[in-house]
Amino acid sequence: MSEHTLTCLAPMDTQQGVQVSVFYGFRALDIEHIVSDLDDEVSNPLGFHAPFEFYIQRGTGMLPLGEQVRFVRLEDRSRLSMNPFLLPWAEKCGLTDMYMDNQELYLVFSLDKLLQEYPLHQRTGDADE
Amino acid sequence: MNTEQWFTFQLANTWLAIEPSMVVTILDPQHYVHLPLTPDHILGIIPHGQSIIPILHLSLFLRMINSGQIDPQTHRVLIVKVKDMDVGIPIQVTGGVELVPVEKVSKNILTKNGRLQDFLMGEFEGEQGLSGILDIGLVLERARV
Repeated sequence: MSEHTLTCLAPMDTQQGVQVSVFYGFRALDIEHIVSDLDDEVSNPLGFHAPFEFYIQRGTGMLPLGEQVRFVRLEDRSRLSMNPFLLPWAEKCGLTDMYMDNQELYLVFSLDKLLQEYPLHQRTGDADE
Repeated sequence: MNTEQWFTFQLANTWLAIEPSMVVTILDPQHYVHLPLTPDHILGIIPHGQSIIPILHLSLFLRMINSGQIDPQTHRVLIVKVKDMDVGIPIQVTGGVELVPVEKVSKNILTKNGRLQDFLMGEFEGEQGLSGILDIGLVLERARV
């Protein structure tokens, strides 16, 4: 897994909205700025519906940005797999992996790709314009 | 007498056949998790073991007559595997595995139902009547999203 990896955790019942957790080991960027800035923007390119709740993890610490903290054992790589049937869709969404555990769907996004397609200066600049 | 084995199932009132080796299992009706940004013929995904199985609305993809009248949520799901692709297909009925004499398999395709003909490799008159031999590999390749 890339160091720049963003993981979204979405419960099975997407009718009730999607809870999303964001995890990554980011080195130099302003984590809080990125995550708070992604809050609304991620939902549109991926087509999910609000509400979103974001959390970030740095090292062993967790910085909750929502009311509920969810933990994902990302080190368990054996369960990560991408069905080739969904690869074109996954690439379009910026997904790198997906798996299910305890009836919950885990989507792993490439943060690099998200930032590339939705640069910070564009997203922050839109509000000013 | 040379024979071939075919797994038969019914879809939109049409009997189809695939190689038995491509059948993984058949599941009871499932609740599908919708995937955003996918075409209509992708119903969603389901968990299966440690895997995620995309669900293909095959009759809709093939534009078969009456496909819109079928509620795939109430149908059992045939899981097929081609190469590394595991895909679920809601079906009406399974006919099981049939032994078919080779000489009964015809390359002349009479079945016509939407785009189905483009994905048939042959036909045979079996226990269920006329069954079309489906090129499921080609279907999955074209239906990929």
